Amino acid sequence: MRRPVSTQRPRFVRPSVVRAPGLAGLLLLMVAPALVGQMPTTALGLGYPVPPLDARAAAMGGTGLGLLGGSLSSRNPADLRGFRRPTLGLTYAPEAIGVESSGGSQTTGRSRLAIVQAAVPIRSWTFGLGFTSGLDMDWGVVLQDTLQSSFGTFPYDERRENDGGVSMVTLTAVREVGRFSVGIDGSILTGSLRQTFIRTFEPSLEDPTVDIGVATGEARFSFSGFRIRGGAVTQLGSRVRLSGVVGWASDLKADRDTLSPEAAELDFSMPFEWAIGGSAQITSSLLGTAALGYSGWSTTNEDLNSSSSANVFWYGLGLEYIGFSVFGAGLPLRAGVRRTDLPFFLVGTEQLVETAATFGVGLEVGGGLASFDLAVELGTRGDLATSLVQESFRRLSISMSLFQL
Amino acid sequence: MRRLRVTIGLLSLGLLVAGCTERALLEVDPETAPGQTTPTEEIEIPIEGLLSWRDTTYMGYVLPASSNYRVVVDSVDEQSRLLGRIETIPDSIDTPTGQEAIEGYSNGRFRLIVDTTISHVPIQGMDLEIYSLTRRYDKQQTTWTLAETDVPWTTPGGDLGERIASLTIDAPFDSTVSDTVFVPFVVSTDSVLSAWRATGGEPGFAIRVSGATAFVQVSSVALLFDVKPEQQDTLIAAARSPAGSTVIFDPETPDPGQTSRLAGLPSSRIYLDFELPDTWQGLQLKGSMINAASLVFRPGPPAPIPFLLEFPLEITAFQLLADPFVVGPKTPIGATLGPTVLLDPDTITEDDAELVLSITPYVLAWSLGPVDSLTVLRVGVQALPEGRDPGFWQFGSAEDVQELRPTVRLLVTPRVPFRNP
Repeated sequence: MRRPVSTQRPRFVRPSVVRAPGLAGLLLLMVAPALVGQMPTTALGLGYPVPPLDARAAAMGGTGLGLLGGSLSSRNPADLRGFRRPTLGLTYAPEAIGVESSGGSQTTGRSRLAIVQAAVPIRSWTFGLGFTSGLDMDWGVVLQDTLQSSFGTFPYDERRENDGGVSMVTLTAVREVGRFSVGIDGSILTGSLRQTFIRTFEPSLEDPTVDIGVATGEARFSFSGFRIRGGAVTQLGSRVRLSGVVGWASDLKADRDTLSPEAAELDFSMPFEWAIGGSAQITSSLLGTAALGYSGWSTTNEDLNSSSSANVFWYGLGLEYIGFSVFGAGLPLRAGVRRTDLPFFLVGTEQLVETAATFGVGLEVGGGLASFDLAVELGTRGDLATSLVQESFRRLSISMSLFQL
Repeated sequence: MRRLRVTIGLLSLGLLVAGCTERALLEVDPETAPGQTTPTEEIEIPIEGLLSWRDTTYMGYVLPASSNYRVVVDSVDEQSRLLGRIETIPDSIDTPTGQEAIEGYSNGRFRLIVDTTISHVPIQGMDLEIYSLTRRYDKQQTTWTLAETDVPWTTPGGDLGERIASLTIDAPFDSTVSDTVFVPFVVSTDSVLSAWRATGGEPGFAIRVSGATAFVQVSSVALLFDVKPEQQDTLIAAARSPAGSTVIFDPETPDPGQTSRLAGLPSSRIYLDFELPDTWQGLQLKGSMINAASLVFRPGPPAPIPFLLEFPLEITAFQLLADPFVVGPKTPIGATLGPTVLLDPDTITEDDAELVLSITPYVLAWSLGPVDSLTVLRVGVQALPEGRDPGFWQFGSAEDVQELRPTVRLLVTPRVPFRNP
């Protein structure tokens, strides 16, 4: 009987001494470092910034600033003074997406509760409480490949999903001072992100009794931060309203809720932003609106690893025609166009641009106690040739508003 | 109040619609798939890459006495004999008139049931002979050279005394007639059995064959004889099976030396323990998903006759529940770690042939368990059936040349880093 043999030696061994049968190489599954096509915009950087618009503003070129008749969008806190009665509105905005790649197009869908906004006027003040979707980080992909090893050949499915994003809960105060309404709001940035990875291997092709199971991973982050904005609105006579806003936000802090050797806390600079816009009653039945804005997302660039960010400029133009009615209720028709840069894009590629043509219709019911608004936006984001990311989208915004609660 | 209900209703509807919307998954090309992932990598860690590795071969799990190996051989390469004792020669017998003392024994013969399909009778025939032993033997300890521990036979192969039974068998076996062979006594049955009755069968008997290349696989042995009760003229047939039977053979099973050995008689197992590093060549192992883990043994050359493995074996790895280098061969064993693997003597000699044994659940428990809850992995390897015959196969151990040393092969999926949301 042989005596036990002990081998206590240094950890590392020259690769040449490794005797690997069959596949001599060690790395079997190559993970593509580049992300070419098939990339949803919500997977870029901190995600897709959801415009805080109600359906009326969305239908009119995504403006939402200084709209005569009021808007429950959250472009400018001072615009809440446009409601003279207590108001509650909710906008739901699902969209169908076509993600383009060199191999073709795939359709997917996203849904968002874009904004919930309440406004309560009290004498010369209006107070508001709102919830808005900020950054949408939802996406999911599934891929199929085959792992070849000396243990066998294993086809597998791999799902990578991100679920979550950043939302804002906003408290607003507006006061009417002469011909101006001056407003300020404070927003808490909140939300979470759950990243999951599941690779499910099928049994070996050579021997179905050989099963190597699954590989999974998960990370959860909680977001926190705040934003302050100040804005003003003025009415020039009864036919023109102008609106402007500036905003500043703290860093967005992402706390890791799961154990990881990676950093437990990540900070992302959030942009300084401004926007101006307004609307004018061109004729008694035709309203025109325009707005433009800026967000300084370039400061976030140094906080990102796998993507870049750049400043965002946006503008929109829209019209509203109020000449139609149904059963005595007004049926405004709306249309517009808009263009906006998107803040996040792949490293080494061009910044994405989103353009859309917008349409919509509204319906007041209950003698003006409630309204329903509908907007359809048809547009594209990015360009496959220059930004390696391209989506076509059809967004439907549905707003329900109640007045004088 | 009505407006409040309408408000709540609208809000609920909106949230319900939002909540019920399901995101579709994009099917993407693996080459360009977005998102954070982690590769599944196969690595092979030589024992020098481990924090520690110890291996050894323990023998004796099945001894000749407890195996089913009952072969009588006379050839150039091997000789073997069966030893046995008839411990219960009766001194009385039940008859229709009651229990009667036995006056004498007669017509003695051994009945051997032979596996005629693999037994071989040389062309010139062979003699099947049964001798009384002149020295007692210990069933568990006896070998070709030793009657018991530290007590050698005067003549290797057993100290043969009087030849008590013999049969000449002509070639070939006529298996179509019968596989039962009767070897008649050639001396007085009464004197042999009376002596055995007095000594409890000691010192026993040995069965041997003579005739080059003679090979007899014996399935069972029994002693048949007639007894004559006192005061009666009739003979009554009786039979006894031997106790303390075993087989001794020459050459004896060699010591494994520095190699790792499976099977053989006495049977051998490989016991080992090792410690995996937390990382290996930059790859994180501790905390990673171990999709598969195997011990890989490299076979040595075939053993010489009569230890050449002739028939396939099923090899299995199991967990050891204590330190085998402290507890020894009797280390308690735990759960089987993976499916059995066929060790086929026809294919194990091929180039780059390996014996690959799964230990996946054990390594996975090490990887995903709490830190320091499991540091040393202890594994035993055995061949099934164990102790079938003297044939064994040897593998490289920690003390062999580099190319023959065992390795640990892993299929690892490290944690996804999820660096940046």
